[in-house]
Amino acid sequence: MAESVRADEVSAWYGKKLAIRDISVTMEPNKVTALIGPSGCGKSTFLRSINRLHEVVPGAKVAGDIWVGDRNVYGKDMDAVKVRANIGMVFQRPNPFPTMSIYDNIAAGPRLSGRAGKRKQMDELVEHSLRQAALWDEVKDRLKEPATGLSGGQQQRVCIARALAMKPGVLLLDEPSSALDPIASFKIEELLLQLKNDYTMVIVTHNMQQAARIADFTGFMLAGTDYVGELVEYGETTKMFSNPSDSRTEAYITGRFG
Amino acid sequence: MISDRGMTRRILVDRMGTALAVGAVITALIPLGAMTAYVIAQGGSALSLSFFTQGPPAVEGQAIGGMFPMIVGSLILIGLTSCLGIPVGLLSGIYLWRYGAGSFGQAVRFVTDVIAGIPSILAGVIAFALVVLPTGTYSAYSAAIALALLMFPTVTRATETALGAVPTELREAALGLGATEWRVVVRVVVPTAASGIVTAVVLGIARVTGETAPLVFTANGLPVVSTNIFGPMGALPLQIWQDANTPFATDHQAAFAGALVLFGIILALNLIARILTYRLSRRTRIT
Repeated sequence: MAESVRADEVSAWYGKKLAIRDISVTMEPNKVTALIGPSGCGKSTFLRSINRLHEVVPGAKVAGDIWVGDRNVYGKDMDAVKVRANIGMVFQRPNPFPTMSIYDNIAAGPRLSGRAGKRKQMDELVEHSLRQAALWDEVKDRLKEPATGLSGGQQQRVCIARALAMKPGVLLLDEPSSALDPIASFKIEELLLQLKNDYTMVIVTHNMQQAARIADFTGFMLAGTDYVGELVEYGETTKMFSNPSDSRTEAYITGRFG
Repeated sequence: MISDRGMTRRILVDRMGTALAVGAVITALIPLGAMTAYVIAQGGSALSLSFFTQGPPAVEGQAIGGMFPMIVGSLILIGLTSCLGIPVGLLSGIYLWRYGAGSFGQAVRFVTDVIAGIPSILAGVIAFALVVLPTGTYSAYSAAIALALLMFPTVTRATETALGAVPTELREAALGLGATEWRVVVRVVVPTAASGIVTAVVLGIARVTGETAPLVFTANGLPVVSTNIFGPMGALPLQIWQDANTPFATDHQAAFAGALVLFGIILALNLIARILTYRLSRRTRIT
């Protein structure tokens, strides 16, 4: 079930360096929220704070609270491993597990988190997830083959299916199509539009056209002269791209910098 | 535009460089080829089925005999050494990769490299002092300890290197799916690095298979079949060394035959390492 994501004064550090400061924002369930902004503005850092992946970098830490549904991800007795199991993540470069077949890649989440059921259930889960990722017809006859033998776009859809197999409420996407060619990239966009009815999606993108095409809401992040990323503006995508309220947003989306 | 003379000179220098490199390779290969040929020529004639099935002659100098007890002993020693050296090497390699960034990790790395560089006879002396003297007997397990000391640094450092080559994105993908650190290491990172790790393990085994000096202080067994790891045990390199030191021509022949067998075992281990590396790296190629 899709859940809302609410960040409350989230700051994140790499060692002593502050990367993002006091980000507060609510992302609606069953909607696509895009995070845009120039390189180094902390979009990815913020995204990785949502599923507590930021803290796996040595020395990295986060302050503030993030609520997914009614649970505080940074609550006292919340376990980062459980948080990550309930939030799907897709990375910039397709990263299927190279030692595993297509089938095993999709089954990896339940298996790695100790949720794997019986063989038949797993077969159904794998098929369902691959259908969701619009990949079933392309790979159904070669499920036992290594996932790294697929094309880049297919590999990325394997990664999306792998995330969906965990039945997450939230799907985080860190520039999921930036490493792909335009056609594969377009297919990923189409897929995300199909999926948004069932998930809360947060997508980091460098591509403003992509944000305009698929996102219901958009957040614009920017690092100031102190190189600390902040959320400059957040709102409905149509409004942000037609009538931004902040002059910096306008400057960015009209291509004057970044 | 380069003048014709300049061009001719460049081509000449290029050819000279190539010729020097080829010459160096041939120079390096001559002793290797000569040694191989000599061992095959000297040892091959003494090799027969009975060499693999029987023990040495009852009376020295009367016949070539066989090395069955020492082959068994060597296999047991290699197995025992692997049981000690491989887990220690693997786990310390994982430790260094994951937590070895600090000064303690650097210290471990330094000590590992120092141990890798100690003369093998010293490993034998250490096991002699720590195990053989207190227990009052030569033993196979003391030999395994000495050999494991020589084996584990190779495995440790190669494991660390192989794990380091696994892209961070794979680790993060697994963590992102809700896997614990340990499961990520065991189920994703180590399998991805398997080709490098397996190569390290097999080469580590190959390295200690031919060691002789440490065994003189530790295993030091008689040429009879023994499976008691708490007692002395014979081994191929040990017997080769002993046979080479007698005045009998038959023993010298047996030594060469033993050397040939040892040569074959090490060659086979290296081949296995190559094949496994090739097959595993094909499976885990990251595109």
